[in-house]
Amino acid sequence: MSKTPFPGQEAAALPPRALASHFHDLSQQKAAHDLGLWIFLATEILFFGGLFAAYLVYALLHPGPFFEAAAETEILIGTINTAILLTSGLTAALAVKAAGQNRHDAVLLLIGITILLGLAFLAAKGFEYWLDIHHHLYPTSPDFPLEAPAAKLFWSLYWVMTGLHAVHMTVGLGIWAVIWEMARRRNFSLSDNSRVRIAGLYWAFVDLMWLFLWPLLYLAGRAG
Amino acid sequence: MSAQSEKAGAAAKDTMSARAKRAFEGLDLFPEVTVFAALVGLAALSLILALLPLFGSLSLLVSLLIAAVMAALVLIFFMHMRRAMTVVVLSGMAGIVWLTILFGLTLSDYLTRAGPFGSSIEPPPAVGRVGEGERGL
Amino acid sequence: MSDIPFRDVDLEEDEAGPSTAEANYLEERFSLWSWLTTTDHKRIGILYLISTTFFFFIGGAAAVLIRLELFTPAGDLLTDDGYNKVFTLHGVVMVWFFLVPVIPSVLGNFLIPLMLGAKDLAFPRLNLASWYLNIIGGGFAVWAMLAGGVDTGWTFYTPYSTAFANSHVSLTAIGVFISGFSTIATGVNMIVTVHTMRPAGMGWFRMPLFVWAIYATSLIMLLSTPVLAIVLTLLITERLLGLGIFNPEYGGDPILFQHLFWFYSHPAVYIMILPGMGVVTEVITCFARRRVFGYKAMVYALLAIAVIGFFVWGHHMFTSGQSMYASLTFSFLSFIVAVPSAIKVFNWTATLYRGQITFEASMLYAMGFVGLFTMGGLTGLFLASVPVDLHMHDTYFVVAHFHYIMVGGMVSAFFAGLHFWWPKITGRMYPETAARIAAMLMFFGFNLTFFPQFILGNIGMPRRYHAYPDEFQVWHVLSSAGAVILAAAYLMPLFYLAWSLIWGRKAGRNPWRAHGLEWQTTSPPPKHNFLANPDVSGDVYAYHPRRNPRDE
Repeated sequence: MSKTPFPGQEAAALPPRALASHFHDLSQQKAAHDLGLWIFLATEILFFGGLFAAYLVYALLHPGPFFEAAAETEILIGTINTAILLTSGLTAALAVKAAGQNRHDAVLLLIGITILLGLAFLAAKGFEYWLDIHHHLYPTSPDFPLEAPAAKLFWSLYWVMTGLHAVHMTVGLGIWAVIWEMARRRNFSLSDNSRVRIAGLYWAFVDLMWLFLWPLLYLAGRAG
Repeated sequence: MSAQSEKAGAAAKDTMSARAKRAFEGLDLFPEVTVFAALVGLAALSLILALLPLFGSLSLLVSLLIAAVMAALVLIFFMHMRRAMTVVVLSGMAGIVWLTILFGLTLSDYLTRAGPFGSSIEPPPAVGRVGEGERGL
Repeated sequence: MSDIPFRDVDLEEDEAGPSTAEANYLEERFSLWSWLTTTDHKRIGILYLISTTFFFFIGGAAAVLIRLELFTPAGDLLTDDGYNKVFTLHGVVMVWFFLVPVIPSVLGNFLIPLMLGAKDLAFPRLNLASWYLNIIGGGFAVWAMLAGGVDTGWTFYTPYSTAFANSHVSLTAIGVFISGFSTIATGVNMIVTVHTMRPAGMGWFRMPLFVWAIYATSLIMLLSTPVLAIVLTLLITERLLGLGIFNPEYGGDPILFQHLFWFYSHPAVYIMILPGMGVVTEVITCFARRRVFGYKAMVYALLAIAVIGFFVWGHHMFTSGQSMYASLTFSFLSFIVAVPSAIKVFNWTATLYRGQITFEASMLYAMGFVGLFTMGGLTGLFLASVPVDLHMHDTYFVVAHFHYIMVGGMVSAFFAGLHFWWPKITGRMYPETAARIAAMLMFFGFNLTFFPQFILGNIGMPRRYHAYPDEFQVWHVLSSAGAVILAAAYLMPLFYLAWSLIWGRKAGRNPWRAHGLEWQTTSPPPKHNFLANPDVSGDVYAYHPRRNPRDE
């Protein structure tokens, strides 16, 4: 890990740009980047964790109306989106692998597909939002279709959870787009640089969050 | 952004045939593809179990259990946690452990309040409420 | 720990170290642009010093208004609404834009790479971004103040903040939310630096305790701040979009807001004190010329405080309607956190034993810290016990308690550190006599301001009221008089430290004959911190020989 001698002159032999001047060697830099991103992901767990805590408390306090409200979400779109995200998770993971082997064309292609799948996800999400609004499924609507007050708690959580997830998706797409363009111009070394690996980790995490949002928001309250 | 994706789309189209083949030649698609198949299978299982009235009120727990298995697959194979440094694993674990603290101590309040469940919550008085338009940013 | 024979540092202040060809970090480039785009951790530390000083004086001005208002029993200086806005501003600015960033981001930024023998923090650009996020967040808070202020108190309790307040709650909450990103960025940077940037030979248990303190602080920052971010997001969406997570009309529970808020804000109290403990350890060992007593116990105590700090948040909610059983659990857990805190106090005291103590200004501040922190900590035990808290809750006793920790503790520690490392940061010595007078004035003014508040709270003066019965006046007058002295004492360093920048005596590389790595390089350090590879084999606390190589 850090058992490297103090930065010395031998570091100068490495290619420019890939190694920042304050690091000693690439393995130290890679370790720092990986750890930094993972720590950030730990904070993300707690960020979404606050929402999960609210869900947990209200599902316990008002189970009936809460799950009745959950049965109103668009399960078809939610499930299609799950499939889309799982596929994009695969292409992102393969892109990371290909980048490790410096396979330029494969990386471009895989990141491209990941971006397209991400856009498809957001488009489906947007259509779903349009349907929800059409069905008056937002707490301030005077025609909110569900009787029990606690149904509005569920729908508040639905909007915040999916909204924040969509924000994370958008950030991820932005990162992929920048990396795709940089990779197309070949202005960084795919294998020496951490960019693709870091973006892949972040994308997998956004994917992973959805794996929990999907049952909480779409699958809950479906069985009799 | 959209220009980027169009380009990405164009690039994807151009390379569909021969270039795509060349791009992937020799790239080992495993274990990623197998894991992907397992994830899709688990998702389908989760969907079916959620729709069938098998577990009653526990069905959400079953779905979440499957989600946890899927998450573990993603962590191990897509995020390479198995090959990661110990401290990386620890930082991931810390997120989960602290989440348990948050859940546990919050529930220690809700599960032990006096009276029937949920009865401690009362609507606030209507006096002094500020209307939508009057609220500052 | 390997056994390093005792080795005193060179007593003569040698300026003829290795070549002085490389310009120091201050003189490397001069333009304003070079400062605003710098990725040098030392310069970013200076940027933070400027911004936190700015916010300190904004928060301080609000405090002056509060104390002036409380001089008389009638609420005559400010309107009811105005008073609410002033104490909210004081709380918001002091907590998020002064206390949280002040030591980690000013001294931590400057010193962590130097103390570890590294060239920079792991993510220099992220470090700069964190400063911008901090001032953008602060900008929102100041904007909210100029636009008319916020009246919720710094805790933003619902449903008042969501349904009743007509002040600029969302704007302020957005500012705090943004500053949260800044905190997280700093935390990530510090942890990754400590893990990956240590040169060979700098083992975990060779690191100075200041580094350990910042490490423990960063752990808390990372694990608590996201929960603040989400709870503020929920607050903002509830206010602006009409979603209703905490809305009792939907069956939502406002107390859930308090749970999530204090899950951040109680650990945040430790964000605001652990770095101070780190500074004080460095200062006390140096001016007592003693090894720190019980190095490992100090490390474990820091980590224990960081972890246990997450288990005690419910002691802010004893009167909220929280379940009694939860209150008892939180009360018990709160007593436990006193144990590692006491270990630290005992070990500082034991470090002084048989020391050759000299009372430089930073030592005066550090001694002040130990005493005032002890007072603050012990009164915290009163409040952690449910029956006493029912009597004291929301009175001036609470106000006095946390000011003993935050102001008596953290602000004293910050001044201790600022004076101690001022020669390293600027290359100049500050005027010692003026600094000693300021330190003593601060201690005296602080106690005169806040000790009467313990009495006020006990006889029933509630916090957040600006009109009060006549019989409380004598204590309020004492407190306000103390605040005047305190304000003068805070203004003094502004002048003499600025004076020292130009007329101060040049500092050698090690004016205090201290043993940390940061004292091996020139003052101010060159851009890349060390001209030659630093010798990391020395013992940072080798102030006196060990009698037995195995003892601590």
